[in-house]
Amino acid sequence: MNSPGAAIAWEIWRKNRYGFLLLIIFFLVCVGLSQRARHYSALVEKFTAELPRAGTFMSREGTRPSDTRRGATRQDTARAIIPPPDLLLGGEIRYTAPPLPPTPPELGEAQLQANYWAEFATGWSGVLLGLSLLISLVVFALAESTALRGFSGVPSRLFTLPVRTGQLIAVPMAMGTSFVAMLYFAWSRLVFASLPSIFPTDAQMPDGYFLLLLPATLAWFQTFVWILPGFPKTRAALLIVLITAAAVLSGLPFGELSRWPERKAALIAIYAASLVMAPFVAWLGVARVRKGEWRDWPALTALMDRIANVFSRRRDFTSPASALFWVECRRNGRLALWGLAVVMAFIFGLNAIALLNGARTADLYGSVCGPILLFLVFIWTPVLGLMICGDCASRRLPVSAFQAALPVADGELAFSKLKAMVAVWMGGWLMAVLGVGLWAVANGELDAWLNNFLHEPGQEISLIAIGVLSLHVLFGLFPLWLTGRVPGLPWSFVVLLIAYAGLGNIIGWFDRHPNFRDAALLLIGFAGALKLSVAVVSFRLALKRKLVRRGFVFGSVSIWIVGTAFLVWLMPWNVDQHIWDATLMLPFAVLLFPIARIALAPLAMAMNRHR
Amino acid sequence: MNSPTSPPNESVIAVGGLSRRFKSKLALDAVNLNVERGQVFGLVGANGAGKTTLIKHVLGLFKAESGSVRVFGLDPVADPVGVLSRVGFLSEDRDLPGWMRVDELIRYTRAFHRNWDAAYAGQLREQFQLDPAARIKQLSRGELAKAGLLAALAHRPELLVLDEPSSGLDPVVRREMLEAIVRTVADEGRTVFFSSHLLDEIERVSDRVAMMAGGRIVLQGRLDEILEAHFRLTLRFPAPLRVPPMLAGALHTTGEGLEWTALCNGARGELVEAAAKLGARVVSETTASLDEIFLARVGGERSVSLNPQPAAK
Repeated sequence: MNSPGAAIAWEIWRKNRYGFLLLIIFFLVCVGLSQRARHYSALVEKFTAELPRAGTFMSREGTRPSDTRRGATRQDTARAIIPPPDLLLGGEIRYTAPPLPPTPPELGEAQLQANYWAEFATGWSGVLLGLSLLISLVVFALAESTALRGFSGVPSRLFTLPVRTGQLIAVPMAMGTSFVAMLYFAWSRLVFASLPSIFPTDAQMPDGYFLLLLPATLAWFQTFVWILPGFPKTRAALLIVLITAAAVLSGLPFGELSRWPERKAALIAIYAASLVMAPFVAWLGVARVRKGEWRDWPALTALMDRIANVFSRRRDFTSPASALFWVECRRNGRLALWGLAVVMAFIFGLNAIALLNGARTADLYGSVCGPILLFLVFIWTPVLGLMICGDCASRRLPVSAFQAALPVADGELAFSKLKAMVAVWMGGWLMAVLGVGLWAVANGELDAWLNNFLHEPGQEISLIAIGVLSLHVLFGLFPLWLTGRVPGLPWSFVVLLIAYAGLGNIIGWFDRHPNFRDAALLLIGFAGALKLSVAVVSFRLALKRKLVRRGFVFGSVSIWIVGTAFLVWLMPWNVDQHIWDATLMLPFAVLLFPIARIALAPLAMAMNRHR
Repeated sequence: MNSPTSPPNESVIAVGGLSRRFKSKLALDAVNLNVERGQVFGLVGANGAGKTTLIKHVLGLFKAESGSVRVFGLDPVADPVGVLSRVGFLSEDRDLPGWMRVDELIRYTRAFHRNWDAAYAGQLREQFQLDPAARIKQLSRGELAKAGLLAALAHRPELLVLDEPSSGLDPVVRREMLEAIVRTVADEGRTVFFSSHLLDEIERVSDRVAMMAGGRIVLQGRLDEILEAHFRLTLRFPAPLRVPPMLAGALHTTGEGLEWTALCNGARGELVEAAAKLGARVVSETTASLDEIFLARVGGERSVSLNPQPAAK
């Protein structure tokens, strides 16, 4: 390590080595999944093309003898459908004669497996590649956070080193852009190339497009982070817009754009130009930040301060509970609502552009509501839950001495977070509904959209189901986060998404295998019993240790009973709409409303506060 | 509830056999401590000695692995409300919420204390010249400490716990902070428990002192008694010495060549006798400062090694 560049590169590696390890794990998991999907796809092709011959699996070494007896190939076929593990390590399928032809049910089963694995691998690969790219953005942004002043740009300690600004910029930017390019290339060649469901025809992954889009996104992400440390709100808004725009642009090659080839050429040119521009902008900005300029815009700051002062707290608090609720909403809730507003404005902006390009307002129902709902449920809600679990001073999960030394019970601290979380979550939903409503009114589509919502069968039930799912996601891993002993954003967010994706897969598996209904029922019963047992034990312990009052327990249990009763009452309609199994869905409704996680919250807060 | 007018020898903080380990590092090793009502108790120690860990146990922010902690006779972990409502705390990290305004911080802190004295808070704010509309993150280091001290003092706590209150502050701000602390002490026998590595500060305001090193309390007692018990002898040897002389009764020896200074704790006769055996005579005898006592008790070996002896001519 004999150069500043090597030292900066080493620092990035050393500080983020677990992040890099996670990227490797994601990649290997998806390579395995795609290979499995490829196996089934190949099997279906073989079955279809060579109907007179069934397959038997042989390892590369030929250690598994092929059974050529007539009538023995039924087992061979089954063995080929459920491949042995050594297939992934280099085994291959050989077809031996004289076999029996596969029966239509076998072909159907193989087709089912092929479709399932293709969808499964594609879904997970998309999610994990997206997470890998987000992790890459965080890793190469270099920013460090302090409790008092939030996230830095380029850490100011690097400014005191005898390194030129150009080098400070060039090393992480070159590393980052090369890294995401290589990351994409590896995923493209070793994961997505094996997945037939993305491009059913002979089309290839648009490598050139992504090899410019992703590095350009990273370069501008770094640029915004580095040049705007004095303007945290502006920076946050720009970063949200950048990431959302990159997500939308990433989806374009998979859409049905009639003029895609010519637009692709124009977009590639724009990405190339922006990739060239980003280092210059970053260099100019960081040079000014290093000289102590661009710390803030005095006039704008004064204006913002005046506006903030209008909304500052001028009345005394009536109780410690009201003070705690205010601090949680003010510290974390306001920022969350601000982020949601920015993303909604961005989505409306994109749709406005589509309108200007001749799209019909009636067709935009899905492109307005869909992205807003997706963002609201799968990104905003879990991030809100995580943010509210953070400390009011540092925003980190461990509670600060300032907050921990307040004379309030642990349960009171946890309860204020719960209240704030639910209040801001409801505020977010209200904002989304009002936003969509205003958009509809502005475009004269309110009646049509309301009509669509009210008269389309299952719409209102679907919205309630999404709301319940959102509530579940909101509480997420709440007690775990509240202990303050796990990493905060973005790592906990990644774990949460993986946990929910895994849960979704388990539910999907049982949905596709009705023969295992009894096992599903048993599992649901066990989960329900576990949930209630945890709730009872946790509440008893919290009462015994005087962390909470009886009123808190009574209130939580009452809300749970009412909420669960409502869901159970609602479930028959839901079952009818979606042709679900009523025997499974009714007990499943008991699992949806949170009670165990609420009961664990005071104990988790006590773990955090008294270490 | 105890009042500040309770008997002065009542124990406010009682720590018994407290130990705490962080992974392989023993942060506190069987610490015993007793702070009585009305005392100003100074906790002295080098960085990493365990002062902040001990203070966090007193506040209930750390749970005792072994041993016990009682504040006002209560367990601060089991009854945080009972303890913390009577305590004012200024953290070493000054981890106040940077986004709050000064007046919001005052209102927020006030919500948790029934005994909040609004007039006193206003008086402190004016004395510290804190702008109520200023954001905490825009305050200087000194102003931040003052804002933290205001929040800790304005409910007139029975026990004031200060972790490195003047760390990183200029002499003017330090003086203001110390004056506020002294006034708190004068206020009907309230108790102050504070840590510092600024020994002049400890010497100026403390009644009682404990010195910590490596997680243990190496010396504890009344400040005046400690100062009386320690003295410094300057010895002159007939021939230059290469290494510090081994003198019975000396806690610490520094010097070079012919003249060496020994710091001892009570055993004067023993030390003079040992010096006489080596042919040395006493040149002067002075009282030791707290700084010298601390170096002798905690940093003696380090100070010798940092001043290597020149070779004798």
